[in-house]
Amino acid sequence: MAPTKRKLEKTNVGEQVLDLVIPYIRNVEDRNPVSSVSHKFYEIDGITRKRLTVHAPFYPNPASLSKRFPFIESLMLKGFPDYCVKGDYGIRITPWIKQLALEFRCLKELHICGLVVHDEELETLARTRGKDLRSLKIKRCKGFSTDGLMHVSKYCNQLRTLCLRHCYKIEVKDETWLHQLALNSTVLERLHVRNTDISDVENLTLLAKNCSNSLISLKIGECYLSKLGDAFRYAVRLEHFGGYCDEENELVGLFPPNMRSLSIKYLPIGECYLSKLGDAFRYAVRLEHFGGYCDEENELVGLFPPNMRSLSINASVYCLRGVPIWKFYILRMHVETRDCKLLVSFARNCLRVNLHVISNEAIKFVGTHLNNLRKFRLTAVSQKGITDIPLDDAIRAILMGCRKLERLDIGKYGANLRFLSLTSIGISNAGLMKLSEGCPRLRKLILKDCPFGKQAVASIVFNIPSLRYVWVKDGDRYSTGLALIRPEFQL
Amino acid sequence: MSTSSSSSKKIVLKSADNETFEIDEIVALESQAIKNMIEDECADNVIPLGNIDSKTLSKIIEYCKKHAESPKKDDNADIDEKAVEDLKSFDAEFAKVDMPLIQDILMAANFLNIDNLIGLMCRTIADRIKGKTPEEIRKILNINKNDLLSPEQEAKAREENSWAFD
Repeated sequence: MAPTKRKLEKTNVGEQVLDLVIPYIRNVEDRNPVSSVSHKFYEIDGITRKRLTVHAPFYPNPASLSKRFPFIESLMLKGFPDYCVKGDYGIRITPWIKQLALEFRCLKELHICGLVVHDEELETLARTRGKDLRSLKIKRCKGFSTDGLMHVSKYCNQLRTLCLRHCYKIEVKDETWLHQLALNSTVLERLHVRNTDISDVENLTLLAKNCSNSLISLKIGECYLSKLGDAFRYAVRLEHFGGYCDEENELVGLFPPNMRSLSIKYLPIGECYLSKLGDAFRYAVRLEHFGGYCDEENELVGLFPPNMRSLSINASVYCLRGVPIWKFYILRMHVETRDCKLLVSFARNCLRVNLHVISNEAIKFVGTHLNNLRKFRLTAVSQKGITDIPLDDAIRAILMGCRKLERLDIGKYGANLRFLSLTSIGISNAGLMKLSEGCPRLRKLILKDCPFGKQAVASIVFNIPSLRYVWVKDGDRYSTGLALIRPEFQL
Repeated sequence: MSTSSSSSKKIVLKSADNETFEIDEIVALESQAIKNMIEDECADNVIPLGNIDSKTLSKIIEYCKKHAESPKKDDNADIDEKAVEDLKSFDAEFAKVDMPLIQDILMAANFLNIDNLIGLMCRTIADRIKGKTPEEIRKILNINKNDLLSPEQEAKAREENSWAFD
């Protein structure tokens, strides 16, 4: 009869539609519950996931991952956060590289963060998956040298992106890997090797020449702008550059015509240099972002071209007098308490603001006026490293005012908060409990010099099931340096 | 030949429950599948749609009519914005129907190959699933109880999801 048959059809339809609907559910948090709806859902979710982040400390079984998600194209492997790992301790990437060599045949992007990576592992990776890799990012990793990178240069000749971020401990044996990279690459779009010693002009120029049709972003170590004239002439598509600046050279006509963002470490002091830079900027009409370290004596007014929308600068607010900051959507700078009102008065459209040393009153001001804020970073540390400023009111003001905030929301308004770092903030145990109730998605919690009882910290662990890392530092003692929390283990 | 002007040419569709719908060709062209049939000259008689019931089909025709009538994007920059707004609010209203009908429309739109409508229905379903628990999703989509993961499998999936995968 019709009714039963009808019902049966509906049931099937529910699962047929999934094939069509699943590409529209991209967010992992929405994907996860979908995967446990039924066998069919589990299966479809497994074969359609293209991107994945794995926290290696919690997932020691690469084989079962490749079985569940055989067609992963983009994989991010994360180790412990920086502050959790002391000295040479860390998690090795070995089992993952072994599995990557066997399975994961669709892999195009690999991002590694906070793991120990050795040269032979880079070699295995490059030999097996290298020819298919489009993006390799290695961040905060240690254990490898330029010998390992040589294998990447040799085998990964389809790379569009190569990033080595915050890998301070790369052992630089020689520059042959960079030479090899320059010789082998013709499609590289992004080379980010800032904070490394990678800066050889000849090889960078060769790279720019061979990748002149592809290179759009170049961020390098200590190699001065004035030496890069040839590289810039070859790299006609270059849009982003990060590097160092010196006073020697003429800058007019230096930058490629499409330059959109420029980050310069340590801007030389003095009107003369700035006016040179200003002249150069007049030709860089597409420039939207500028970043750098700036001396207090530098006055930046008149420096920036009209399209500038983003500024990330280490300078005093007074450097910005007369600069039309109100047109910006990103502003990152360190601001003293006394400057805060001045800043707020012209930064009301900014989405990101970093502020340093700040009072209750100033934070309230930010909360009231910077309603578009998405990321807010706050460090309240006095000279001694301990303050007793009760910031509850101020933070409440931020949370009530800045509802779009994604980072550092607290308490009952912090439903979207993932990462929270509290330094020397003196709220009570009861306040901490309230916080745990209000931040159901919190993943990382850092408490530095906060006066909470151990009992209170332990109990919030149970209140926030999504919490992965808690790190507590008390004075000079690294007490409970790291807590890996898996409530399941307690059961 | 009876092909006078293309705007007045009619196409007749017949639903699974034998109801016929006469529509302008321009409306029918919103469906890539029917467009192909017209181009292959297979659409002179009634087009039978044996897997689409009349309730679903009339909703689909309502959608195609509206979209066929509204000016296409690059016609005129001035009316563009208003027309786009208008179409948006039409789509939003259109999607306010219950889940079984949405699923029927999606399957039918998929069969008839109407891209915009497939997208609209998928987004609607996705939005209704987002932020829901597996149990709630089962209810929303009326999932067959025979296909559930065992408690152990579900626990394992949840465990992996919550600790390992972003």
